[in-house]
Amino acid sequence: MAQTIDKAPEFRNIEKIDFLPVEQYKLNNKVPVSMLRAGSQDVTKIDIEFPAGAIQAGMPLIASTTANLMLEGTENKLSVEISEKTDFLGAYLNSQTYHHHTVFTILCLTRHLPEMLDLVNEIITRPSFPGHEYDLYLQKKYEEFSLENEKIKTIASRNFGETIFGAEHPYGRQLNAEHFKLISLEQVRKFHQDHYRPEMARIFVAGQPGDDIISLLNRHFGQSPHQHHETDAIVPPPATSSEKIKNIKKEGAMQTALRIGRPLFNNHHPDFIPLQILNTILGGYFGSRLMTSVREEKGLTYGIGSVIMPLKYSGLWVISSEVAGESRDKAIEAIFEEFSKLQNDPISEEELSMVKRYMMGELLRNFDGPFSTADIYRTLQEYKMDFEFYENMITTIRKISTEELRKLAVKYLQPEDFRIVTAGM
Amino acid sequence: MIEYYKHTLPNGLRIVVHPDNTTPMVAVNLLYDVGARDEDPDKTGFAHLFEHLMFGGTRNIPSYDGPVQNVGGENNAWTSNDFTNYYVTLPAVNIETAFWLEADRMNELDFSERSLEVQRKVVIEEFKQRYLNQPYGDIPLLIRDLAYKVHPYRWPTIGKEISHIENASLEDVKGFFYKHYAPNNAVLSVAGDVDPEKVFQLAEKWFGAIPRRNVPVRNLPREPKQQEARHLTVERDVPSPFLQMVFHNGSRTDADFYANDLLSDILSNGPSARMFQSLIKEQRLFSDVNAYIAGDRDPGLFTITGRLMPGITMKDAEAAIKKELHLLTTEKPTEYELQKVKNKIESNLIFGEIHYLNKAMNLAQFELLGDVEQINKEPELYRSVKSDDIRNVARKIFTEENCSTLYYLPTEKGR
Repeated sequence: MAQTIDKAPEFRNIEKIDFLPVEQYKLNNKVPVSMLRAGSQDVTKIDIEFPAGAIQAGMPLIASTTANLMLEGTENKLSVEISEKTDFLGAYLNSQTYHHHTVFTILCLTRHLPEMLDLVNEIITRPSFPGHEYDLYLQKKYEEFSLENEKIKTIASRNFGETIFGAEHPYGRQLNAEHFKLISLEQVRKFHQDHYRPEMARIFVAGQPGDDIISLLNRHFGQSPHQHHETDAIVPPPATSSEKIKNIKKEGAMQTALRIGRPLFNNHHPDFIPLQILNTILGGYFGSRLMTSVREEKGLTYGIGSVIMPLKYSGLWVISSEVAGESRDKAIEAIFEEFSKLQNDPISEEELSMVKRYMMGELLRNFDGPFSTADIYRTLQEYKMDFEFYENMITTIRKISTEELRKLAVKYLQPEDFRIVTAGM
Repeated sequence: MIEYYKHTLPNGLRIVVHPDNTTPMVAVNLLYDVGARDEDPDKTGFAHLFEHLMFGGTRNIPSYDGPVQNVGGENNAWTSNDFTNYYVTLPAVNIETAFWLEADRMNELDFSERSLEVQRKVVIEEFKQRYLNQPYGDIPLLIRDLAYKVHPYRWPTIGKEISHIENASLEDVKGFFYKHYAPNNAVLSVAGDVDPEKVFQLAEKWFGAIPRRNVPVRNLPREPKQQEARHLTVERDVPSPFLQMVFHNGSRTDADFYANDLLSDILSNGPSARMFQSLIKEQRLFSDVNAYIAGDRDPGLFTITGRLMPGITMKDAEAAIKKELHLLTTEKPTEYELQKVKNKIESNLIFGEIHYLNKAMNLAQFELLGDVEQINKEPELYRSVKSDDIRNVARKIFTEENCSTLYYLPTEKGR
């Protein structure tokens, strides 16, 4: 065999992250604009956020239907004309509805921004909500919904949301067939009227938008007068089910989808950042404890992971996997065994320093380029935070000890705080 | 335009470097010229299973993932019918770690029974999760088997059946490695915050001593021209009927690839595309439609799919698709429509030049297809397609005897 070098090369620790600077502007009517100018291509992404989420709508389906239908016709343009225009400019225009807001995203070559912003202004201010588009949209949506219902991971995650927060809770409510009967075009029109006015927008620009961008935005979003109307939704505390474990049988399934988790808090809590480190060790990366045990040692799954999700008024810690159906109980047992190891055995210095270096690399990766940085910034703004949050995370990563992590595991990984939902075999 | 620098080592390893100093990161991408088409018909799914085993460690380095994560990196891999591709993204200052790891496992693997046993199970779960336990998940298995009779494209990368994976032996694994994993059967591409000269030096240092290996010349059976319309009907536990039609078209390196690609875009790229407007919005026959080409190295498939709306019969759905295809064989697209799909290609090519990992993968593939320089000729090749070319391609491929059709129906119980 050939002479190869078997000694590992030298490497450097990542000590800091250079966050791209965020420029702050206000349009004439005080609409805030955050801008990240960077990138090698003349491409721009603009996110326009409205306080028009599922929670403001009260019932599932209304907020997302409203946003999607806004793209299906305006006072001056038919649906097909909007599509033709967007496609001819080689642009992408879509909407995404979250709990507390809906975001319209434009991605295009910078030279097409004037036309795209003109189009989006029309979509936001003068949608026509044609009845036939409404019927068709809901029919298609219902077909998607029926298809999703066949997937064990969807069944598990819908039931898990209800288990953790309660079926009537704004974060726990799930889309069901009944909602398709209850929704009306009147509700959609009303929701648009109440939640989509240019002065309610928050705008996030990323890429190389050119020098005229603020005057362009002013023309389209800065004209209507400012009004104060930040009435935030009231979100009660989670009403977690007392039922520890819920098994749902799906006819013909070959695997079982698992969701194991607990309610938590959001990123304002002092333990949030340290817990992100504990979560990374548990199930947050390819070399995590759960991947090592459940996939690489036992071969029970193609993948398993855990994530801590902050919510504006709550939070969630959840482990997800699809496992060999006959091994469901073995997999659950293996997961809780990892909890107990984290509570009882100190994490080795070697593992901890690897996770620290991995997390620093991951931060460098996530903050690479204007688009992903802008996405992170927009999320932080929901919590009224900025990049200082990640400065704190870097400090915490650097100094956290194995003993602190063990104590966190004792405090937050108590099996009785967790709920188990399974769907499949 | 993507700027690149190219170098070949004496052992045959080709290296392509793209410097991009807008990122502090680097992607190190190693593309091997081996895929599912190189498998024996009774040992399918092997290239992909082998990709999993490549992470099982070597005698020098027992864990591949550990050292990557330790320097802030992340890695993964994918297998297709044509290629097996491994990539690491990491802070550019730590690039050498990726070279150390990739060179080490190209040199020799630690073939262990234990690793094989676990990865067999993991891949079987992947088989179930993505193909067998997913609504419509087994379509790739069914449609390839219908459209191909001889060529190894008749099975998907996951394999023809679970038993092939269950039966994989350590001997098979070793044989596969020495047959296909060699410096002279790979392209190393690097994109990110790097100096090309330094990358070439690192390549020499780490890969230079790996011997050239005897890679057998590929000699795959040619798929004979399809002479008759083929049909398959299956029943599964799904909510709605699904129709899939595939036509043999050509390979990635054919001159009419670009016309083929634009033809598929006219049919289904973007909300204004024909199938979407006509079949979903006007006629309300489908809840979802798609048209795409494989772009494989050997002659591949032009695929049309549609999920039916409730109450629509397969017969009506199929007739409506055929009408759209027929129209393309009789009437040229307008200049406006052709320009529209070209504009979309132009922006997508520019969007694709934003991310360093994407650039690294593309550079390696173009080099393996023949010449990396081709990557910068693509925009012009798309621009030069004429509306006549679109109609000619449509005439060539959209014929009855070139078509394989799958009816995927809900079982009685599922309805």
